[in-house]
Amino acid sequence: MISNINVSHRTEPLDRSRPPEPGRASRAGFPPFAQLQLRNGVPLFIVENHGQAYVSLQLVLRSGSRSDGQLPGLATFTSELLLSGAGDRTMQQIADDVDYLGAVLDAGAGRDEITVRLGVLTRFLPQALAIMADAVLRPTFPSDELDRERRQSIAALKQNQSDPSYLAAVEFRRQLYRGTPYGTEIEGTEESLKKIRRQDCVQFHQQHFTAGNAFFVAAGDVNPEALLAMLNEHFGEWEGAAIEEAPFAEPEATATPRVVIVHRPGSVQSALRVGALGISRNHPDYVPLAIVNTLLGGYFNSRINHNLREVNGFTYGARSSVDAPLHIGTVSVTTSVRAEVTASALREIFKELREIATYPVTEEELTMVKNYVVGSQALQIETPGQVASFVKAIALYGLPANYFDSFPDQVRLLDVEILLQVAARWFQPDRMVVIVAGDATAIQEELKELGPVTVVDEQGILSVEMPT
Amino acid sequence: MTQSSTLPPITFDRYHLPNGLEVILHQRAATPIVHVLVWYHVGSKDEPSDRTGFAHLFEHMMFQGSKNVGKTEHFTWVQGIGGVTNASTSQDRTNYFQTVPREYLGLALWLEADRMRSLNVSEENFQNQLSVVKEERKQRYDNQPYGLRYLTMLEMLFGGSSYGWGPIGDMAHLDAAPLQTVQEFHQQYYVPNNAVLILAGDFDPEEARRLIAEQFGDIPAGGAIQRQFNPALPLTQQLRHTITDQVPFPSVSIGFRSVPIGHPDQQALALLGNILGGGASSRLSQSIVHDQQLALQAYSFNLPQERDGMFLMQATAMHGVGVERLEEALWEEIEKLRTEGPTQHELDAALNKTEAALVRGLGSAQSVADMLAQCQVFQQDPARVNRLLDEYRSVTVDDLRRVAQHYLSPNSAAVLHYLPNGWN
Repeated sequence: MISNINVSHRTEPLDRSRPPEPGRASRAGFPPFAQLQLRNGVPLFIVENHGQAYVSLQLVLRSGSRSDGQLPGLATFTSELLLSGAGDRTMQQIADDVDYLGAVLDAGAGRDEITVRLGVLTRFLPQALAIMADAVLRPTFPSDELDRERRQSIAALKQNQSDPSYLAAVEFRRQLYRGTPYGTEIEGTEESLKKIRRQDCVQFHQQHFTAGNAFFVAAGDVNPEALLAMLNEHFGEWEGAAIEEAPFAEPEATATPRVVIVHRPGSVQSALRVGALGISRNHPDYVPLAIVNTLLGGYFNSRINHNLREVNGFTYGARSSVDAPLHIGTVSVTTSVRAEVTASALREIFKELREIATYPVTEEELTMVKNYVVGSQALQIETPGQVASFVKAIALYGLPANYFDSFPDQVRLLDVEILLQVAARWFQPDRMVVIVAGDATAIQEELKELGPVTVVDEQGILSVEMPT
Repeated sequence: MTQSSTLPPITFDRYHLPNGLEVILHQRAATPIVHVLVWYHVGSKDEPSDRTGFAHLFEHMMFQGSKNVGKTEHFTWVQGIGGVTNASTSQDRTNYFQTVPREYLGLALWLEADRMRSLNVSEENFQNQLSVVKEERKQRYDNQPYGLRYLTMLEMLFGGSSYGWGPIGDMAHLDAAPLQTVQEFHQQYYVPNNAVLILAGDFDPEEARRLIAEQFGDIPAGGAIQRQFNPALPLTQQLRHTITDQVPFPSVSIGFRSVPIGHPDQQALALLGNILGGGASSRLSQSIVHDQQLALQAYSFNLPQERDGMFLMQATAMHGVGVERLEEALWEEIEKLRTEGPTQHELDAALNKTEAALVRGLGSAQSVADMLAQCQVFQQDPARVNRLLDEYRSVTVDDLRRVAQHYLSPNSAAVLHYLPNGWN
């Protein structure tokens, strides 16, 4: 009888066909951040987190390659030279002092912003900040360093051009943004880099590195008052007004589909980009478009990756993306496929685009994507640096301070009709341009079914002789 | 200046199930997420030399269906709750992970247990992933500028041994592999006694132990793990090779055999790699890139593996610079290190950089889990994660000169030139 007691304690065999029930739901709210300002009015956003004895500090300027004017690459070139001599420090001294502190200090440009980034162990912050301040406020642009940087940049450009995905991306932007400030690459061209003079960098720095054009984002092991005092010491006297920006020349939308092949002889894969003009970060369609993009090609089990990789085995991976900058952005599908299936892969991509732009998504897909987007927010705010990048977006694009707090609720409100409307608006197949970086000889004939085919070389220059 | 700080210790509990599954629990409540990581102690070095690439192809199979989870459903489950999941294969191990909101710990464990217990892969899905892997190889190696540099260096340094090929392997070998090899591989290596399960994040330890016992406890242990490891013979002369391909500039790689993980010289070699070519103030950046303007970029690092290791230097020539001139300059830097050694100042900088990198890593559950896994699987000593900084700090400038002399010898180096088509 006693042994029966033991038997009665045995539970039913575990049902292994289903996962265990989830625990009580946790809600990871977006972490709080503070907004202070330096005595000259420069905003300072702070994400305080004392988990590690490490500080990330970004200085962001509201200028970027869109401010390059007649010299594509100028914003990038000027930013990179900040560390090539500043105050009474030479390039070697800057490199040596930064490395000695175990710090990371770099500067670079995007289309809409220039960012100077410092990452440093808390105990070395004061020394590192002094170097950063010299670089930002007192760069010397030594002529010999400028020539060296020019040679480096041109060589780096040539190196990029040997990568098929890079070639496709550049040609894509060239086709869509021709004649606008987004039509050139942030790193410039060989031609433009050869033209940049020291005076251009000095002027660009004077014009764009102003207090009125700047904000700071700090994250990590900082005491807000102490950091503010340190920043006031180094940047408190910085002057200069906000920049009056010239109106952005809007690109013209594509009327009919067209195909551009960037000829890369012998390429065993074709790097593809299919896309069209889209929206800015502030556009009311942004959230629904981002969501419909996620299920079209934004995560592993998206329609496009499933089709091209898991069903057809054309590729290692395929995705779609929404690029939404300060001004008009793009939507695109990106993949690399073996050369023989270039046309087949494009047919499948267009099939998926027609599908998403014509028919509502299923409720099942909608639930999946909502849960994904809402749930994954907790994963994206694990480190102070990650949180800082969201705060930077709030400041740069002028989003409401509670934007990421309310984001889950905005997502939950979406329904299949809204998603169909935005998909029909932005993923229309007949607005798409097709860029292929690959061997034109093997593929151009078959691609004519998609629209008129142009073949260009790696600089985007029209081939006089079509390869046959 | 370098010795003034200590890192907060990484705390963890370690135990094993009766079937041999090692478990490490690392609690951190900073964010309500949990990272679930499984390392199987099998990689490309365990492959027969006529079946290279199989461990990695098999990694893809682990997403193609098990008893209760169909093809691609692993992703569906994890994505449906806002998690992320992926896997990777190296020479020494294959890892699988998911990061999920804390309440879905049970789901992540169920998914990992189901595919540890059994796989259910059809011929069609096997062929599909074979195509995917072929495209992966093209995208990452064959169609990438300098894409064959790493694989060729492995062949030169470790040819004839189990480290002589990379995880991506030879596509002809994979074409020849029948479906049944998938089940055989699973039975041989994907058993609890060849795996480590690591949880890092926000969870209740009692509940975690209960869920782990429920999901993994009755998976039968496999047999003793058979390994055929062919060690590489020492290099007794300098090996040289040239590849001509569609690349923009010539490049020079110089490789040396170094040491396995856990060797007393491991940290000295890591610091040496940093001093020689690990950042803007490194010797290669200052001398070769900046002062002499011979290279577009130049770097070096030590890459220890479970049973062997390599020290690599790579430089891409500036426009108009010949490959011989560049190689000569690289050897000059090596020779300086071997005769004079680095300065204390350089060592201090390298230590500060190492500390900063460790501190940054502590911010992410995934990176802490990876560190624990590595110390557990290769050395059965997860507590080593808390001694790493001290190991680095015990290195002296004399150690650095000694390891430079010992390991970076021109007489046992592999030199690879990568030339653009039509170069002369």
